[in-house]
Amino acid sequence: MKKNAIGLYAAVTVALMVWGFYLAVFVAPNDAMQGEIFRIFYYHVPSWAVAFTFFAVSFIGSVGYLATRHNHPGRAQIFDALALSGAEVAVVFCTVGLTTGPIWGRRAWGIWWTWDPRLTTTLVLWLIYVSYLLLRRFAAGPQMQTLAAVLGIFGALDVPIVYMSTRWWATQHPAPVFFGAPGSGMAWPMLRVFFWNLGAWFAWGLMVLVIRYRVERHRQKIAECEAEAALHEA
Amino acid sequence: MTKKWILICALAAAAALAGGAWFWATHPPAYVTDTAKLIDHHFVVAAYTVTWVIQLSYLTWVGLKWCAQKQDAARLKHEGHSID
Repeated sequence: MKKNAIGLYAAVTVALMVWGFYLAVFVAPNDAMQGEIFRIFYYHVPSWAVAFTFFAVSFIGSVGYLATRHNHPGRAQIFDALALSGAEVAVVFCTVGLTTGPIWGRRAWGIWWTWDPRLTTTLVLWLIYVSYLLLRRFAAGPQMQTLAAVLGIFGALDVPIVYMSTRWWATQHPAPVFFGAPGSGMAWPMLRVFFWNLGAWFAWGLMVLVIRYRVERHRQKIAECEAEAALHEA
Repeated sequence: MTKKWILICALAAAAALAGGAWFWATHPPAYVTDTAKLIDHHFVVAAYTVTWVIQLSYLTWVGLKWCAQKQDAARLKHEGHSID
């Protein structure tokens, strides 16, 4: 039953991805100003939306770990796994955004990269979370999870700065399309395609997040079992 | 799913992705009528392809990690320990 539900979810996600791709490539009209290159929007912006959501998941996991590590060690491990899986999947989506952005920028602006506030704060966000993952990978000892949780919370503070950067400062990056100045927004034929792709990428992201979470929980159980085995041998 | 099957699936996905990207890049839509529009088209293909390369690479890495853990779990079980 559970296996069937997982298979059904994966099938629906793949169907959504295919449908989103079809709409983005064959149905959405070309942008009046940018032409076909604007179609990158349908992958670029949903990737950021998913990345920011999963950074929030990692933030909740980090806060939860710090709050429960003394009184509820079992629950703390669940929060820790959530923090790690959220951060890792968010970094993957962030990498997609940081790769598709320059590809789009090269044609739209004539440059691959510029040190404007939006791009710079985003790169800083990516670097913070890559350092978080490196800490998780290479550090050892009882303090590692606590240090990682603190770094995860610190990194999440950059997310609102990234989001607000195009509102607070003059940037090369375009002004916000959604919730921006009066007159911002998109025509419905484009908006419809955007929402389909947003839904598809959220479904995909959730699937990957759940897989990664289960792998991490499994690793924790193996580590616990190995520690117990070592204790028995000693 | 074993490590071998994950690698086979990853290779199949990589081949499908490369073939699809090549086909899409070499068969531009009708509105691509000049060089500038053709370059735009190639950039769109590149962005979509890069997205899937990153996503599928990560999924493959997680899959391989899962396989390695299953082996560890089997070894522990063989040694008489239980993982619940």
